[in-house]
Amino acid sequence: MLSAMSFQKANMRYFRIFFLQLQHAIEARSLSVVWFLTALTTPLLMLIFWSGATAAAGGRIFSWSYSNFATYYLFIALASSMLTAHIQEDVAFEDINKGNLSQYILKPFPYYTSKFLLELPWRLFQGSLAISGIVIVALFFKNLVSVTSSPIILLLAIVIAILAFILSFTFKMILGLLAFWFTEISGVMNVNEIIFSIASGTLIPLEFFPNNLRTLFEILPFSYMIYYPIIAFLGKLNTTSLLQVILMQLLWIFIFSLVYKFTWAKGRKTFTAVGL
Amino acid sequence: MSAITVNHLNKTYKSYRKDPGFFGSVRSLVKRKYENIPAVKDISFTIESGELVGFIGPNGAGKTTTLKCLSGLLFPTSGEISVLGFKPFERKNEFLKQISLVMGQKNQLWWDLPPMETFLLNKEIYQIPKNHFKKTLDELISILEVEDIINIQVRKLSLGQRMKCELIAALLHSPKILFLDEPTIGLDVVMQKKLRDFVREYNKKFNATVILTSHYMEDVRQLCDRIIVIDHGSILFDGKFDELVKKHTQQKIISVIFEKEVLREKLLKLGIIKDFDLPKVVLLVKRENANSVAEKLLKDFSVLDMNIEEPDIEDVIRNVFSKS
Repeated sequence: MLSAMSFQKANMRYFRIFFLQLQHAIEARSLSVVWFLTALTTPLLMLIFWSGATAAAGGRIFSWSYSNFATYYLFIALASSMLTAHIQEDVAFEDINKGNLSQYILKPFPYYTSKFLLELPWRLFQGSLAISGIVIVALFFKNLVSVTSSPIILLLAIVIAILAFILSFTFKMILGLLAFWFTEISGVMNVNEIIFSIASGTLIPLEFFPNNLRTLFEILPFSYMIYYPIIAFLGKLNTTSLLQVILMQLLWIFIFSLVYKFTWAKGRKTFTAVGL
Repeated sequence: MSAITVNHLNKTYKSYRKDPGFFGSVRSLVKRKYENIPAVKDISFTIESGELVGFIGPNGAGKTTTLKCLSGLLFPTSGEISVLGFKPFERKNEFLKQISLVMGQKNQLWWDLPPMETFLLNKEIYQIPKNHFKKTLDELISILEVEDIINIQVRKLSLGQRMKCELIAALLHSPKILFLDEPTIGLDVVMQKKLRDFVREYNKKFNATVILTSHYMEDVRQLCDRIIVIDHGSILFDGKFDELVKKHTQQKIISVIFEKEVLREKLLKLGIIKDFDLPKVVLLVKRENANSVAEKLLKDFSVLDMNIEEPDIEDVIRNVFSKS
């Protein structure tokens, strides 16, 4: 009974911290809207490109019609704003380079969890903007937005989406922690953005790539952050494939959490707590 | 049991050195020169619980580095640190719940939200029971007189108001050990005094161990019974404030206001004339001669008023550092 109560108390603690962070995100809402619009740019540009391409190819490319493309990029916009963490710059520039990390180190609360609770409200806030956008589009163009109607697939897709966020978040945390060793971390982040936009399916759906590249992208973690959550929602995967995706996500989360622990432990020894 | 024990602590920073100019940058692309800069060199000391200790030293002396090692921010290059029986770098929750570090130039308050939100956040993070939180908060708010500002966005507060709220945020969990790094920096004289009074009260009331670094000698002189003087990473002095003054100043200051005009030459026999602006004269005399000189002055001259003082604390410290 007592342990159940203390468990409930501990959960309340996370909830309250999350709630305070949410207030902060709402306070800075204009920033949130700008970031959301940024996440929208690439999918919109790609959509314009494919509309020309499908018209020139006589209506279909590899069995994809224009409306298939439209649905895909609509969901890319949603996934980029909801599932992709952007914590790396905060970790590298604010915390490590400027020394704000000290405040986190001094508190009896894990850094990873603090940052997770800091990032989550932003994703929910921007995600809700994206969902409202999709609802509006669905009202006008009903056939553009067709998610799976099977409850089991939908449930698995939700699990995949949550795991995708955890995966993306842990990866970005590691990326940020590299600032312990490299003062000029922007270069590494830019290279990551390029690789990510190709290998995650943000630019082009993965089925358009040659087979060997596709196999590589299926091994790399990036497709499990964007591409698979989307096609899971669109109902393009059967239950077995969905479970395989979940397995791959869990494997990558496990690997990243080990790398994170290692990077954190090593990096903290090099931290000089500058600016104090 | 001692609250803090430090044994042979060393902390060396690794720093990359670039030659000046464009070619220096190009050269650093191929070969980078790294340099080891020792910030703290083999220091040892013990602090008992309830002590209020001041760290004095010029910029870059190693004060803040020591404080950062004690609070677990930095990994010591070598040596041992024990704070309340914990190794600070390990960041055990039980340890972190008993300490607090306040930095004059860095804040933990959320810039876009009122201070109250940070207080509530800390309540959750430190798992402070509701009643205890309310009691401590009310007490701190009334001592520091911040009733009106705790619900105003932090960015709109003045430096002094922010510093007060920083202190509240740092003390809500009633830490047994309080590290204060330059707490009065940038504050006006009135605020400085208020803050000093508050620190003293906190130390007495909770029997908290307080370690403070400051550039303002007044802070240290008024607050700390014991001081540790650090320069170039080493401890130059560790002891009572009066001992430092005795040890490092061979002179005392006698300021006299004469009733009648006196001849400069006559006073020269008694000591060094620091200031001669009749009717006021300031003499520097040997510490052991101070009493006899005073007697002589009273006997041989008509004196309106006389004071025997210790030299200015800034001068004492300058004297210590110039010797090092």
